[in-house]
Amino acid sequence: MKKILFFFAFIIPVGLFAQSGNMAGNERGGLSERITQLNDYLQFISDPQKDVNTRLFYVNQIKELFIANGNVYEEFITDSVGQTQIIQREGVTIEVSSLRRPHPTRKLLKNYLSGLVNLKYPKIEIQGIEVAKVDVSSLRKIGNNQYECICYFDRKYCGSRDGMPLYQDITRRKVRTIIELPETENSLSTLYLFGDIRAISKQQ
Amino acid sequence: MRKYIFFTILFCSVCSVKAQVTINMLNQELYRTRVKLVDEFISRFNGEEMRPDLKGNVERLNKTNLLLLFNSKQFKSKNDPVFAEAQEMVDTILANSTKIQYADTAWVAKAQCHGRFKGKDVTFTMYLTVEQKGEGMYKWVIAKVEGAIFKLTPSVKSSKIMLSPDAHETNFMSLRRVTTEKDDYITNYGLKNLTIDQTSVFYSYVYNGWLEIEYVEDLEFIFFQVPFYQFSIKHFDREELNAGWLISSFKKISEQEKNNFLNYIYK
Repeated sequence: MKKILFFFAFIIPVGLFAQSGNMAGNERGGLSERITQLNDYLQFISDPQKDVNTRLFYVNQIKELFIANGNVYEEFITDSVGQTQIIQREGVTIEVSSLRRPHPTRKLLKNYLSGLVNLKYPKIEIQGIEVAKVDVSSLRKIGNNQYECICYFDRKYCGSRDGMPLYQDITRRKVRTIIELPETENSLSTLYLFGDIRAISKQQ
Repeated sequence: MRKYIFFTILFCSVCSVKAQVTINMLNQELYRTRVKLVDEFISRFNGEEMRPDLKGNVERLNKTNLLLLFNSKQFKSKNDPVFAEAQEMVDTILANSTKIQYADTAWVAKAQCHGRFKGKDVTFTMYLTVEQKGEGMYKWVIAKVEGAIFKLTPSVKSSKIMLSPDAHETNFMSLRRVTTEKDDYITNYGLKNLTIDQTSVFYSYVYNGWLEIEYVEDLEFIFFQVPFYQFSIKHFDREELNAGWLISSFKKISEQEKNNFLNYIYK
């Protein structure tokens, strides 16, 4: 019998934000694009039916959305006596809580992404992925022209085998987002970078 | 012929059932009503945002909106005395037009932390508060830490473990012994009324690389803005209309008790 595969195109509604705190319109639009990109890439990377080299390509693409491409990085700071010091910062991490595990697991972003590509899935067809409207906390100033907020959204993932539903998972994600506004009209446009992610997975 | 048609229809129905897969997609109503962020809790508490499914006159709406911020599982029914107390607290909030601001000093985060201390699993409590760091900028700071590992409880507490009364005549040479015999006896050599500042002990452990925090096991926020009340919120993750950050407990307290707690945190 012919296998029937349903695949729902990944669509983020045009009115993306359910709530967006005190964010201005163009910032909201820019953030909306970034979230769409993040989810598009994650979807592709975690799809076992896609070509592995293409998935690896998107692993590199997704890293560019994150602070320091998700890597360990050095930050230059001026201390209280005016001297410049270099401090090492840990790379972006993902903490995942699951009902199936007694405590959350933490991974560096790059390790998490490698894990997604290398995961041995049972042979399943993705039935649907849906992302609810994104909620955004208030923007909080963290530096000159730099702001931080948290983007929250649910993502439901359904898998099946031979047309029978096999697997459903809702993951609630909170993504730390840094927004750097242009200093002058002639500066580069607003910069959006993602930081740590906290995810709560509820497999059904 | 009829038998043939019947079996054809039956066969098609079976194929159709197998081809159809029921997918329960995200429940948008549950998503919208859930209090997903602490910011969202604050907005709804302040009346800046209503739960999306509420309809009715404004005064009733405000009260209902606040009541829906409680974890409904703590009430057995609408006749439950605890529910009546919740309504009293809501009346107090409305009568005093109480608002919560992010920058307030009257709210505290209480994080139950899980860590590793010299290779062993430990848990301890950390209180964090919001502090201003510049013009319009804020940060969370560690205010207080409590835990058994910070109490420096000696393995043996005895009046025989002491610096002798003539120690001064030998240039206090026995001080060396204090640090080379059993380390954890050290507080036996302190003042009778010695109080250990557990927060400083925490800083010292981390500074020396002995303690790592692995994750936060449990998190709640405690609020003192409502006159004569203290309430806490926790996150309830469930597929129900009443879910997300909700008031998990509340109680009446005196202003003195409130001040005592806040002084303890900020001291």
